[in-house]
Amino acid sequence: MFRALRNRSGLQMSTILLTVKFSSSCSCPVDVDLESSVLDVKSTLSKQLQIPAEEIQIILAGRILADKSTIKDLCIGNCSVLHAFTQKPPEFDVKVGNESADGNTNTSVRKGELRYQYFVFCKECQCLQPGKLRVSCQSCKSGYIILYRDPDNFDDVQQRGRINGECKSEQCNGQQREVEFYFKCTGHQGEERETAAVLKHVRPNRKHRLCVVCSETGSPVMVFPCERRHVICLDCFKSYCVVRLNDRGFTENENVGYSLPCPVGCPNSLIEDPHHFCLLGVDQYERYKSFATEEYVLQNGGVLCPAVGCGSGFLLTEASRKVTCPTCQKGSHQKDDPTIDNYHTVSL
Amino acid sequence: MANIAIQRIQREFKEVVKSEEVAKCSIKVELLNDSYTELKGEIAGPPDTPYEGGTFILEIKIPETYPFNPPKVKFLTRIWHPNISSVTGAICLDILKDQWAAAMTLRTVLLSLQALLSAAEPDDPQDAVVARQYKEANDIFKKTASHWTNKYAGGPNCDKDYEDKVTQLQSMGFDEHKARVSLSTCNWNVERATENLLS
Ligand SMILES: [Zn+2]
Ligand SMILES: [Zn+2]
Ligand SMILES: [Zn+2]
Ligand SMILES: [Zn+2]
Ligand SMILES: [Zn+2]
Repeated sequence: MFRALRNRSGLQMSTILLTVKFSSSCSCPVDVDLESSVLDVKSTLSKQLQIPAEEIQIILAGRILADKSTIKDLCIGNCSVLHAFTQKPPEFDVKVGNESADGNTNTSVRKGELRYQYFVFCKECQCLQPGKLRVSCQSCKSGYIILYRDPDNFDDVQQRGRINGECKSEQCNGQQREVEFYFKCTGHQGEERETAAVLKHVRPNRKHRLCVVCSETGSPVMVFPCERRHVICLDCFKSYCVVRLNDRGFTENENVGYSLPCPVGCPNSLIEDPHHFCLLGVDQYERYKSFATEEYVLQNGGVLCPAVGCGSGFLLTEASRKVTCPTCQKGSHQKDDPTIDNYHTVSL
Repeated sequence: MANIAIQRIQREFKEVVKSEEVAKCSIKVELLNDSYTELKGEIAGPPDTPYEGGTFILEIKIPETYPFNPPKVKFLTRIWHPNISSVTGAICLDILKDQWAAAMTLRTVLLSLQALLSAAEPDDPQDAVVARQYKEANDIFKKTASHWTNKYAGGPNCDKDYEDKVTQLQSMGFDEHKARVSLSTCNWNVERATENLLS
């Protein structure tokens, strides 16, 4: 988090700039102190917009912010965008978002949620980063949506339609809408809608469980989806993958793709999302991808180009008994390469 | 060698040294070099088996890719067992092949090998000759295994009959070990063993 709060000279800033959006045509930049509360932000806005502070509600990640929460508690970085709407207090519907307007009881939950519970692989930073969960309305894609309930697990976040909310945007006008979840990197300052791939098996190691390989208790760790939830540290995970890549020991599975099981050998323990292999670094990840493609092509009755140094895979259909390698034809080999001619005469 | 491998072997080495089994003298491990790539293992023949009273030395080589791949283990002490080659000492044991898991250790390997000596699996043999004898002439198998334990692993049971047969072939000019292998293979039939040696 702190990186986001540093200015160019590397000094930590005590104030950050937020943008509070009321509608597509109305957004207010606010300079806030890290120690200031949501109520302080509301009074600043109140002065700028000439609306009573009590009528302003601010939404972050699908929830109405409690007046007492401080900016520091919310773990939001410089240049973050918050969404807001106005409502006269007597009309305010307490049922919204399952919490009262000053939702004090939920502040602790929010802290946990925003503090490093999710991890993402950030393409920008090229590494694993703590991620933050963000929410938008499935219909208007805005952040004016307030969740009916918080996600309890990964399925709530990853499968569509499990959580709904009330969308306060002009377009949706308080209607019930399906919620879309996405993740952002906390390590750099990105665009508002920039997303990062969440790594569902990477978790904080709160219970200090031992890595099955080296017995260290570092955090975060990879938790395999096996029954015993075996844990492996990220260093050991990298070594494990590279060793298995070298002996082509990955498994091609129709649901999860080219993957690896728990190193303890548990059944049903394949890593469920190939994004985890980004952790291997660029070179090894490239190798992973090319092996995965080859395996996929071969398993689906395809062929690999026999031309030296090409090796691209492609699928053959009955209609195309003789084919030209799509890669080589683009000029990576000479057309009169004898190996390609040989290949062309091979029929199904 | 990779850091993880070294770190693991150091820890596993300590685990064996501190283990109960070492206190009972049933397993032992020694480092052969500073790089932790080669170790010497030792297991005691389990009680109530033809291997009882013998000490079996193992060669343990740690691959660069340890613990994601199993250690390479073979018997240096000659042994008569369906799942261990009487010629090379190579072992047929699932955990040293495809059933290896990164959570296993030197201690589990040594204890598994000891268990293998207690319960052979003749249907998944490394040595077909021994496996056939185990199934078809189990009494001879036990006596042969016990004789080998006596000759090669310091076991206590000396079999006068088998000794004499080996000496008989030796007096005909055959090498002692070759004579013993041939006799063991031919269920201790001296004539067939002689023919076998001459062919
Ligand atoms: Zn980033
Ligand atoms: Zn909407
Ligand atoms: Zn580890
Ligand atoms: Zn497992
Ligand atoms: Zn090609």
